[in-house]
Amino acid sequence: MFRLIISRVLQAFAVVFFLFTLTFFAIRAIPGDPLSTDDKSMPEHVKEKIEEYYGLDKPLIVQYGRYVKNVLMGDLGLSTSKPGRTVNEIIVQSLPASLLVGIGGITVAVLLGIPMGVIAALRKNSWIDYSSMAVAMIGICIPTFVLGPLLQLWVASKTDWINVAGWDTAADILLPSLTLGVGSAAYLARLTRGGMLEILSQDYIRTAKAKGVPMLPIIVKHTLRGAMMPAVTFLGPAFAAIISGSFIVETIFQVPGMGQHFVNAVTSKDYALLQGLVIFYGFLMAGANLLVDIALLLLNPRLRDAT
Amino acid sequence: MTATLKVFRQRPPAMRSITFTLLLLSGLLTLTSCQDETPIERANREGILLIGNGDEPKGIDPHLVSGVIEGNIIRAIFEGLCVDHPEKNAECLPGVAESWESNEDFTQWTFNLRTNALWSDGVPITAEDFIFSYHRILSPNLGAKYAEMLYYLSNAKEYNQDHKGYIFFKADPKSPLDWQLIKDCNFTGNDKIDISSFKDTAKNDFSSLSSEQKQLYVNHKGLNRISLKQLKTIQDGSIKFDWPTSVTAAEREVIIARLMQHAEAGSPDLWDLAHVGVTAKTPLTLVINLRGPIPFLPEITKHYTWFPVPKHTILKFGTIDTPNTGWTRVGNIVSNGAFVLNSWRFNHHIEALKNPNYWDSSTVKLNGIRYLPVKNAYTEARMFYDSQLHKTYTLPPEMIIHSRKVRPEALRQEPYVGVYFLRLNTTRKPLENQKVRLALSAAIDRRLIIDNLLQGGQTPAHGLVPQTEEYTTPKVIHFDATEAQKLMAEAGFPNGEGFTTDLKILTTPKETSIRMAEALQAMWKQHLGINVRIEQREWGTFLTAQQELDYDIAVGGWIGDFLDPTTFLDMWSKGNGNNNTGWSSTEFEEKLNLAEQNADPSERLEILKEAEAIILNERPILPLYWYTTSYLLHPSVKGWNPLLLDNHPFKFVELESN
Repeated sequence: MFRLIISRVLQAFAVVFFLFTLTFFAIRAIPGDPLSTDDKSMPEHVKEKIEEYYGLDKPLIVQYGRYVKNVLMGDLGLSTSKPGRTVNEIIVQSLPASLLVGIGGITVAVLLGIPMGVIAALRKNSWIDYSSMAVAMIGICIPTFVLGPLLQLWVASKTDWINVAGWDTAADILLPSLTLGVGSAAYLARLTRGGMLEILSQDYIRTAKAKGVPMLPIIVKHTLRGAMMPAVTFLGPAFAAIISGSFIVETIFQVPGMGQHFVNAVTSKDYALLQGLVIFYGFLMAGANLLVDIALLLLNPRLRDAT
Repeated sequence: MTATLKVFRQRPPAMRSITFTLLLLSGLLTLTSCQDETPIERANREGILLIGNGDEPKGIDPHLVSGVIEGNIIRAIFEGLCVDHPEKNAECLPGVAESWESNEDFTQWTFNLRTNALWSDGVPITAEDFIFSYHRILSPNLGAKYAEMLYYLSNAKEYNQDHKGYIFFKADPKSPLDWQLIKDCNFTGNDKIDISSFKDTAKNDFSSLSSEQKQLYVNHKGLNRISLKQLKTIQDGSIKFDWPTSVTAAEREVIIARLMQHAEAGSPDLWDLAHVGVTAKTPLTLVINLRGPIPFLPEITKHYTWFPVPKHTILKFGTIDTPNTGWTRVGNIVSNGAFVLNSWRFNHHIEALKNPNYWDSSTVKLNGIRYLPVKNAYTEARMFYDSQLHKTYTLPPEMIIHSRKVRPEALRQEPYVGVYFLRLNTTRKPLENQKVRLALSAAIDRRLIIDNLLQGGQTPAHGLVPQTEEYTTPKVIHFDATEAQKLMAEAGFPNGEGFTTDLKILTTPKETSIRMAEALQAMWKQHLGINVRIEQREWGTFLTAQQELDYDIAVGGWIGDFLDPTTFLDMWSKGNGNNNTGWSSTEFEEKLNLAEQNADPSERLEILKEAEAIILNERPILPLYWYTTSYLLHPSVKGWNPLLLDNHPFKFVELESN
C-alpha cells in the first residue's frame, strides 16, 4: 500500500504540473486581457503601470518561469480581479464554506442514496424498486439551478428558521447541501442497487442464506461491503467536484465558497486566480482518488494481493 | 450505559450514522429555531441597514477603484469637501469644507475646511491631507484608473501622464527653453509606428535590436517614455530621432540633457516641479486652480476620486505611490466618513459602524450598514421577500412584474443618469453612410422596447445626454418608419434592396442584451426590410472587438459620474478610449473646447447643447433609452429619496422600527 501511495503522489505532481502549464497558456490564448474587463476603457499609460505591477509586461516565457518558481515556493500570485488579494488568501478564505457544503452534500447523498439503493435491490422488481429508481432518475435530471430556487420558495420562504440565502446561521447549510446532494444521491442509489444485485447473486451469499444467517448481517456484513465498491469509486471525485464546482449553488444561496471564483477567474481573465484554483483542484482530485483507492483496498482483500 | 451501547452495536453501521445525524440535526434545529425575529426586525432594533451590493468590491481605496459597488461603500466611510444632498440633485452640502467660493471666472476655488473634521483615529484633517491625496491619485506610478477625474486641476494631466517635456519646459518657471518653440517635439510618442513584432525584445534587450528597429522603437515611445540608455543613443547620434525642423540643434541638446539628468538622478517625483493646481493657503484653506473655468466644481468633489485619504496611515504601509498595500484592511484603515469599516469577510459581507469621531455624528441616525455582495439578482429579490434585506441592488425585469403584484409598496423605479445606446462602426460600409445610420435610428420603436422588454419605466431617449433640470437635451430622435424608409431609399437601398446581409449586432451573453438585439433585428426587418444577425461574445472579447473596431453594431451603456453633460460628451472626441466608433469631428471638438473655456454657466450649457446636436446629427451612436434604477426598498427605511446619480448619503438615512 505504501508503494501505491508514493507512486500516486508522484503521479499527482506530474498531472498537476501538466494541468497548470496547459491552463497557463490556454487562458492567455483567449482574446482580451486581465486589465480590460471594465466597460470604461483604461488609459494606456495607466495600463502600462498596472501591467508592470503584475509582471504582465514580461515575455510569456519569462512570466511562466517566474510563475513556476513562485508556485514551488507556495506563492500562487496576485489576483487581478480582486486587487490587493493574493490567490492563496482567496483559496484559504473560501475553502471552509466549500468544505462544509461539500461535506453536507455528500452526507445527504450517502444518507439518501445508499439506503434507497439497498432497499431497491432487496425488493428487486417490486413497486418499491421502481418508485425509488424513478425518484433517483428525477433527482439526476433536475438541475441545481431549478432545485435550488424551488427549495428557496417551498422551504425557506415558508419557515422562519431557514433563510432564503446567506451564510450566517447553522441552518444555512441545509438547503445548499440538499440541492447539491440530491443529484449525487440519485447516482449513488443506482450504483448501490447495481452493486447489491451483483453481490446478492453470488454463491457465498446463497451459502450464508442456506446456513441460516439472518438477513441483516448478510446485507451489512457480506453484501454491502462488496456492493459499495462502485459507490465509493464515485464518491471520491464527486466530493472534489462539489467543493470547487458548485458555482450555481454558491450564487443561488449566497455561499462564500470557491466554485464561483473558478467561473469568475475565467470571465475576468484573472490568470493567477485561475491557475491557482486549477492547481488546488488538481491536488484535491488526486487526493480524493487516492483515498478512493485506499478505501477500495480495505473493502476488497483481493485487490490487496494484487498490489 | 452498557445496555444502550449494546443496542447500538446490534444496529447496522448505516443506521447508526443515521441516528447520529438525526440527533445532530435536531440539536441544530432547536438551536436555530430560537430565532424568533427576522433579520430585518433584528437589524431595525440594532439600527443596522442591510443592503444588497451586487458583488464583492474590487477594493475600497478611493483612488484605485472605479465602480458603483465600490462607491457605495466608500461614500459611507469617507467624505469629500462637499456632500450629496439627501433629496436634491446638483446640490452640495458642506462636508469637510465648511464653505467655499470661487473667483469670477470659476478658475480658482477656495475651500475653507472645518476645524472639527477628524480622521477616525482622532487626527485632525488639514489641507495637507487633500494635497497629499491629489498628489497620490495623480502619481504616475500608482496606476489609478480614474485619475482623469482630477484632470480639471491645472497641470494634473501632464503630471499624471508623466509628461516630462511639459513639466521641465513649461511648468517649471526656471525652464531654460521656451515651450512654444519646442512643443512640437515628439515627447508623448507615436502609436502609429508599429513595433509589435519586436516589442518584447525592445523592453528586455534593447541593444540586440537592429539600428532601424531601435529608431522605430524610440520614435514610437517618445522622449518622455524612453530609458536613459535610449536617450544616450539619441544624444551620441547613433539613432536618428525625428525632430521637428523648427527645433534647433542647441535646443535638442538642452532637451536631451535635461531628460538625462532626471533619469540619472533615478527619476525622482516631479510633483513639485509640475505645479499641479492644488495648494494650502493656511492649514485649513485649500486653494484649487483649474485648467479652465469649471462652475460645477463642488459637484465634482462629491465623487470619491476627490476624497481625502489619510497621509499618516498610507505612509505607514508604503510610499505615496505603492498600490494595494493593505491600508484599507480592517484594523488598518483610517477614514473620515460618517461610518468606519468594522468587519469585512470576503464574499460574505462588509460592515461599517457609526464613526464616533465624525464631525456631524449627531446627524447620523444609523448605527451601521451591512453590505451583502449578492450577485444573483433573483436570490437577492427572494432574500428581500424573506425579510433578509432592507434594499436590493437591482431588480430583474421578471421580478419587477412580480413585485408589482406582491410588494407594490416596496418597489422603487427612479430616473438614473445613464444612457443605453448602440455604437456603430462608422469605418465600415454601409454604416459610414450617415443616412443609413439615421434610418436605423428612425426604425427603432423605443417605447415598444421599454414597455414590453425592459419593464423598468425607462425614458425613450430623444437625445444623448439624459435630461436634467439644468440641461435641456435636443429633441431629435423619434420613431418614424416612413421617414426611415425614405432615408434608406436615399442612401440607395429602397426597401432594403441591395443592403448587405452580413451586418451583425454584437452583444454580451447577458439575457437582456440578447433580447434587445432580437427586438432591433425584428424592427429593422419589419420597417426597413433588412436582415441583420446577432453575434454574442463573452465580455472580454466583446470589449476588445470594439476597441479594435472589429464589429458593426454593438450594444453599450454609459453612466454619468456627475451631473454635467460633459460626462456624456467628452468620450466622443478623437482618440478617447471609450469612443470606439471610428467617428470624430473637429467641429464637435471645437465646441467642447469652447465650452471648456466659457465661464458663463448658461452660455456654456448652450454650447454643449450645440455640441450634442452635432453628434446627434451625425449619429455614430444610436441612443435608445435613459436609465432608471429598479429596486426594492423596505418601508422601514426613511430618508432614501430618488436621486439622479443614485449616490445616497447614508448619514441622512434612518430606520423606523415596526
